[in-house]
Amino acid sequence: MVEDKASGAGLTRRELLKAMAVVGGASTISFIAIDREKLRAVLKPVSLEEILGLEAEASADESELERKARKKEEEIKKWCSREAEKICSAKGGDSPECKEAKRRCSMVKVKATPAKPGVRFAMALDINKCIGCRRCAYACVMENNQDREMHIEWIKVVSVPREEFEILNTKLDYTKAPEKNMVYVPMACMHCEDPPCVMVCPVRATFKEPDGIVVIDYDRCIGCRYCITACPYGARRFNWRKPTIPVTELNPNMHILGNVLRQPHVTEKCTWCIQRSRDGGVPACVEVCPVGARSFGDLNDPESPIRRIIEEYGAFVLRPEAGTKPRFFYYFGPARTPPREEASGKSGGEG
Amino acid sequence: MKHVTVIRPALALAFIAVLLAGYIADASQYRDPDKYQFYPCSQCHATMKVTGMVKKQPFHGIDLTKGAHAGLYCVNCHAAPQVDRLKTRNGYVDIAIPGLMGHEELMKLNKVCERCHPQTYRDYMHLAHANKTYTCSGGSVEIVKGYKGIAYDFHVCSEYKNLAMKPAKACVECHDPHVGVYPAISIMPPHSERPAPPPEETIAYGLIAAVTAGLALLLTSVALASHTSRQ
Repeated sequence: MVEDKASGAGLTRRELLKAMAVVGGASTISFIAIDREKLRAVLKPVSLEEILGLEAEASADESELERKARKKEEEIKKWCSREAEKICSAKGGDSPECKEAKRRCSMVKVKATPAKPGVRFAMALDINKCIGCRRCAYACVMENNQDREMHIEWIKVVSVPREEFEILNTKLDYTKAPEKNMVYVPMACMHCEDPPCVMVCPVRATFKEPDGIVVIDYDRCIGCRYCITACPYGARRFNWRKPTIPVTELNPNMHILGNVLRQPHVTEKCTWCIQRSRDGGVPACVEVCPVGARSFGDLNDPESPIRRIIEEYGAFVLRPEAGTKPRFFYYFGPARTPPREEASGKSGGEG
Repeated sequence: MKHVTVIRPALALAFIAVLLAGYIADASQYRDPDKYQFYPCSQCHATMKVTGMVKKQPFHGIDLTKGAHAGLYCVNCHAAPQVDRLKTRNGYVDIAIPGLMGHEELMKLNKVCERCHPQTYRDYMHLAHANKTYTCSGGSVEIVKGYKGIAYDFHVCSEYKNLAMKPAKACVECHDPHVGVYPAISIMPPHSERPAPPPEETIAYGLIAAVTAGLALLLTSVALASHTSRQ
């Protein structure tokens, strides 16, 4: 019935359609063949990086973590300059706070330094020397960009009676130190060889690095807090809300797996100042300790402080029965910091 | 008369030195500057011949009859007759005064301590004793007032890479060689501002909540029972 109408032109409709298809196809092919370069400019070809979820602009020698760190650095710089502007408009452009905030923002550097092969970090603490001053805990807050309002402190220091060393008599809230009959035990993440926190993490957001540092990927953490429950040392802390950090006190030396600014509802903990130690520095708690009770080094290096301490004085770990094999050692050093009574009449301390 | 003209500039110098010492943070933080009188050592010691078993030197306020170094005499460390030189294990080193001389000068004195404290010196060299810090090339350290008022070392580096760990202080920057033991009180930081937890007797919320919830449950069950029986 359709053929009747088309037959007027001397062709069946089917033949006409066939001819048109052939002509169209041929012209398309020739168009593509001739104007391929032009077409390439119009259409963006898909890249393998895009399909695999990597960015096209990522260079071949940049790892995924480095890319993430670079993005984070841009984000933090933006946030920081916004905060700095607020301070500047409130206190004036010439105020020292404004200048300090701007300087810190310009210094922000988020690193992704990988673990050095053959390095195994460990820390040791001399219980005979520790005076329980909690400076390590406070310096840690500064160094690791911790919240200033929720009183999150990664290091907790407990006082234990010297005579019996009874765990039931430990006190976290002592206000006077050092006392003659007490020893002080600072505790943070023990960076265990078999970390229970890593075992329970349902999304593998926390893992052990080859150099022995247990880290958390804050972007992967879902905030389930299983790890907090699993840790036998109570080393992990939770950000219940957005951390408050004054820009004038921001530590610009950041590591993507360490002290980079955290989002709310993620777990955080000590990373042995990964932003310092991975690059050859010394953790902030070790640096600030006024009596030099802490030591930090590479277990594999025979000249390291840790090897020296273990060989010379012997060391023990907390809760060995938990089977976690901590890499944070405690030891009783050769000399005790002199008891406070001897000099108590002199002054009331510098604070 | 000649004697007096020598002493007057010396006293003036001493006064300036004491003032200076007051301004240098380490000296004022850890030591009592009045106790020490700083002079150009050679002014007196070039001609002075000190020998023998001396234990007290009132002019410098030194008394070796007490303290951790009570067993020593001056000549155990100072090279007589010119006492402005100190003995090391295999040689001598010039004297340096904490608070007046720089860190590098004071580091040279560590060798003097090594003679009697080899174990501690080895610990120190292994970074297992005393304070540690790190440096970066071209960087500097600013001491800022940190969280809860503690002094915090803010490192200013361009890249924060290739850092180097090293001892932060020389022996004499912490230990007074004439007293030996460092008083603990002067390094006490401020107390924690964290509030103490409330006493256990005052925590009654759990009990009240349990009683309230129990009553609510009871009332609901009674109400439900009466409702179903009416139906």
